[in-house]
Amino acid sequence: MGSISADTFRRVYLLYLLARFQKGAYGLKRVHKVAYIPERESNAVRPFEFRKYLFGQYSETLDDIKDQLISMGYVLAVPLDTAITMKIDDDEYSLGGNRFVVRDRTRMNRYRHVLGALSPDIPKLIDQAVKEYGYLIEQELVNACYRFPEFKATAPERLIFEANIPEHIDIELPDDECADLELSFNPVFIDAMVRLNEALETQPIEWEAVQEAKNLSASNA
Amino acid sequence: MSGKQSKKPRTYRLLMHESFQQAYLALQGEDPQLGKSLITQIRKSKADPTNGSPLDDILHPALAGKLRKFHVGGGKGLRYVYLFHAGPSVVLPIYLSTESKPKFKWEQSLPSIETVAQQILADFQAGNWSKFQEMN
Repeated sequence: MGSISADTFRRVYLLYLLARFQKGAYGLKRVHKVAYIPERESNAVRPFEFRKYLFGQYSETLDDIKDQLISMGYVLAVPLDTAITMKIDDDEYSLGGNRFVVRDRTRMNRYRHVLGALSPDIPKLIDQAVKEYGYLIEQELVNACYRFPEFKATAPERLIFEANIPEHIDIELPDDECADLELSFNPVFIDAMVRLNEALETQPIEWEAVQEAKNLSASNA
Repeated sequence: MSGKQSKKPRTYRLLMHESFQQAYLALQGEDPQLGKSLITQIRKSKADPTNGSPLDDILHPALAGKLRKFHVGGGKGLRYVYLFHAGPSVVLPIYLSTESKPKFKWEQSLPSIETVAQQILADFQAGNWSKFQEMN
């Protein structure tokens, strides 16, 4: 049995949640609200803290993790039709929201297994939250979330829930597969590898400037 | 012309960054037998990089199947991770875990993996070819 870090668990959790939106998740506000639902259960596993902000339930950690999934290319942020694109110099900025689409859903059964390590109910709770709330009209979703008693009872900008997952999570997968997960969900590593792969495609190697590794022959080993 | 034409196997060149070389030399100093096993696995990756096990959880399409690993010193040993690209026919060793798996703590190793990956990228992009060596 191996273990993974809390951050890797959070990345897998959010990726799985976004993948349950068959047509993509319309808007970040919706993602926060739907991710909040499974955390409402008593004794819930809570990968993300949630605060009561101007637009309702909001998790700063979830926002960071979402950005990491986008930076790794695992989630695409597609501007909504209603979004406005502004061009300043050479940079384009999108105002008005994105649809979040998981690029590759082929590993979701494996991620169900990973999430089940902390509680077998997690995948089911996520599935249910997306099914019931994922495609509500936004105002209906907001109204529903504002009606929750624990939300009403919380003062503005205060924590509604603390995150409660341990720093290391034991998973019933071989050590090797846990190590693969850690590496594969590390945004710094993946970003470097994507850019190195691009550089290999576009930048010629000056082999004449590269020395031969003389101390690495099999006979020296 | 008639009959089947045999496809010439692609020949890869192995470009090793100094950070990986240092990891190899440290291993060789500590455990020459493991050092020998690493060289064998590096040679296998160079001979045919598709022989290593792919890191299947990497979901970025540009990297699909290109990051692979070999075990060093058996299944419970170290992990040798490499990137290859069929375009320029290059294999780049990226990372060698420094402890065998039963003692392995990812949270201790991740900063070093991140640092090494960024260093290899920076030297490659800057064309610092003196930081690399070719293993024949």
